[in-house]
Amino acid sequence: MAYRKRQKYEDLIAEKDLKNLPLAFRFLIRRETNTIGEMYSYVRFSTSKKLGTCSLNNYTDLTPISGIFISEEK
Amino acid sequence: MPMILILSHKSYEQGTDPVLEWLLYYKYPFRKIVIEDLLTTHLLIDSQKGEVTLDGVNLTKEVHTVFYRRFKKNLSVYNGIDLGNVTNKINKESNIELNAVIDFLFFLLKDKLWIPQTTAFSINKEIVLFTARKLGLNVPRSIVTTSKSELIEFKRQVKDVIYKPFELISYYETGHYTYSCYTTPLSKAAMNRIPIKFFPSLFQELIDAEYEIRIFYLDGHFYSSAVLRPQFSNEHNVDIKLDFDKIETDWVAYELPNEVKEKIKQLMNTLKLITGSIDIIKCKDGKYYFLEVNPVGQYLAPSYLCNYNIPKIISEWLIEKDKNMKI
Amino acid sequence: MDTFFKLFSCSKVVRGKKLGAVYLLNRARIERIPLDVCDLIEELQMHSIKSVQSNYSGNIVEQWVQYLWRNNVGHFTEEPNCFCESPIEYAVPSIIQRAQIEFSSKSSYNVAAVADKLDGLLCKHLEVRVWGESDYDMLNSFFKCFKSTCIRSINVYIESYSKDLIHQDIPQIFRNNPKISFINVFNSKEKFIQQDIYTLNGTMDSLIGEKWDLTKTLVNFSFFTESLSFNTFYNKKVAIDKDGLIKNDLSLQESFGNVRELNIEEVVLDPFFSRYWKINVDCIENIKDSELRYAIYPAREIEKKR
Repeated sequence: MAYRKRQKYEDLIAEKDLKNLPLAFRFLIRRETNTIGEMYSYVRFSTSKKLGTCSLNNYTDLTPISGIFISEEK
Repeated sequence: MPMILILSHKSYEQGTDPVLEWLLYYKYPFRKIVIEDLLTTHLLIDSQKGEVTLDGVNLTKEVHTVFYRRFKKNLSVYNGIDLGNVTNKINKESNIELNAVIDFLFFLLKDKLWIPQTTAFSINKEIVLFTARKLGLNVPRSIVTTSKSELIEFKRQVKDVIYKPFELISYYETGHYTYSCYTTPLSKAAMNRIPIKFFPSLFQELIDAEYEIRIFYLDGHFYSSAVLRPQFSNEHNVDIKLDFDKIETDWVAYELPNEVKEKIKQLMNTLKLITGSIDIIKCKDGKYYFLEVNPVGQYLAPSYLCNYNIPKIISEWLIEKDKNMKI
Repeated sequence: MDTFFKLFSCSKVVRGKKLGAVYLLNRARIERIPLDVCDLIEELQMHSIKSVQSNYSGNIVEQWVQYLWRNNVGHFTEEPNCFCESPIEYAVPSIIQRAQIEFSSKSSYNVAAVADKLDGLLCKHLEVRVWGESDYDMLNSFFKCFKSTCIRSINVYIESYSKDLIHQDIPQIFRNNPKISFINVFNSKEKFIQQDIYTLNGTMDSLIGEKWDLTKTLVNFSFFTESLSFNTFYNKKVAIDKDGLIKNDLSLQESFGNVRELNIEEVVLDPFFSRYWKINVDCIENIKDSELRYAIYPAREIEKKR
């Protein structure tokens, strides 16, 4: 349908090697790794004993902690 | 005191920790286990008694409820000198050994309340659609074929076709770039990439969607979000995952019609699924089409964007069920 | 079928005394509107556009609907009952969500004990202010106390650091401690070090002493829902100053005892400590009439009106 975005498919695997692979490998889309949320490449991980993980994702709060605001000019 | 057993991965699994944070807040006892624990902590399975003890905790006696997110994965257990093909065989067969132990462990805990049930861990998409169709839900027409001529005939019948991986094609990272396959509309250019004969592949009728609906389902309750693309712009991707980050995509709270809810409940009961992340399409002709259910799917993004606080809901449900389970 | 104009569930209408506003919570934006348009939007949620139009003359309804649609406030639909509101409850799995810790080489309270207590309170976000001269070992030992806690972010402010070692030590501290979100080092003439590590010419005293700009708005679901019921400056927060005094915020004079003598958990659970937590912007004299009030962070000491 006309309104759908055209996709550009990447040739990660040579044609001669695709014969016995799922068709998916003919329709691969390439994206920059750090744009894919699920790759978590921009997330830093630490540990938490209580949560039993060495893969605790770190993120900042959406409410400030204090009245400090340092603008870019400063 | 009862305890909830959490099965997940050692590496980050976004659906696990938010629920555990609420269990900590409610001070409800839980124990998280990952597959690596079977190699590093003290495990005892007593077949006579039918009891499983891990790291000093008798899971058979203490656990009432099992919250399953992930568990099995292939471990690289052999780290010695490279023996070529023998290395691969050692790893493969060691994992088979470990999986057999896990299957027995799960068997001995089968009378606990599992969310989801072990049978649901990897559910076949087409079996689900087949079942959904039988229960009166609208589902897209589909074929599985190895032949381009069959595909062309199918396309002639349904007009617009998509290709989608049957089970799982994940991400292939090569440093700066990552490759993956998404739901693929079969345009003329895409058809030209398909040879005459190919790997058994799933093709589905492309439903002309007005919008998609993502549902987190838990024990008869629906937490639905409609994904609205901008009404004044036409360019978007068939696979919503490619548009997730776009600010023009609006996720909004949604209420499914009761008759659709009833059919979905029936489907989930038939499939013995207490929970799942469900994808539905609302078609321009007014019909709702069921696409798929993932029993261990992700729920955080819609939860956040619609303020459903699903991790809190899951934890409260787990606690209530765990307290009421009699061993 | 009749067409309705429905708000997106993340669009929330707020009335002030003179003006209204629509908060686009997933787009981090606010659209200010006349109070009459707030009424109009309310009508549109219940009745079709045609029906509402019949109550107005001219094409004022059409104009406003188009304006709101173009500005992503809502959408057109023939199934209004399917599009419902998002819940507005604020709930987080923490007894204390945010903490401030002030520290110097002269501080005599036990940081590890404080970290342990904050972990028990399931604290998620931390602000650390390090006064006086600091060095690598001191900072490393400090942050080590939080390594395995529930903390998800640490904002760091350092009064000063040796200019000979800043390029080597501070990035190392940042690398060693993935919970750190950013580090600001004051009294430094150094140029850019790396992303998330900032050097500032001024003193920590002067920049920290500046009052938060109350005209700055924060627009997101979490802040909005917290603002509806709680004072976002006070709520679920504790501060420990460099002498170990327990406070609601480091900018405030009032203290509730010293961590060296008291159990932080008992202090924060005392109703007197949390007495301002629920004094939200609807109760604050110079903010309550503003249509922007739920986007304002009221970083000021509360004074009871006499």
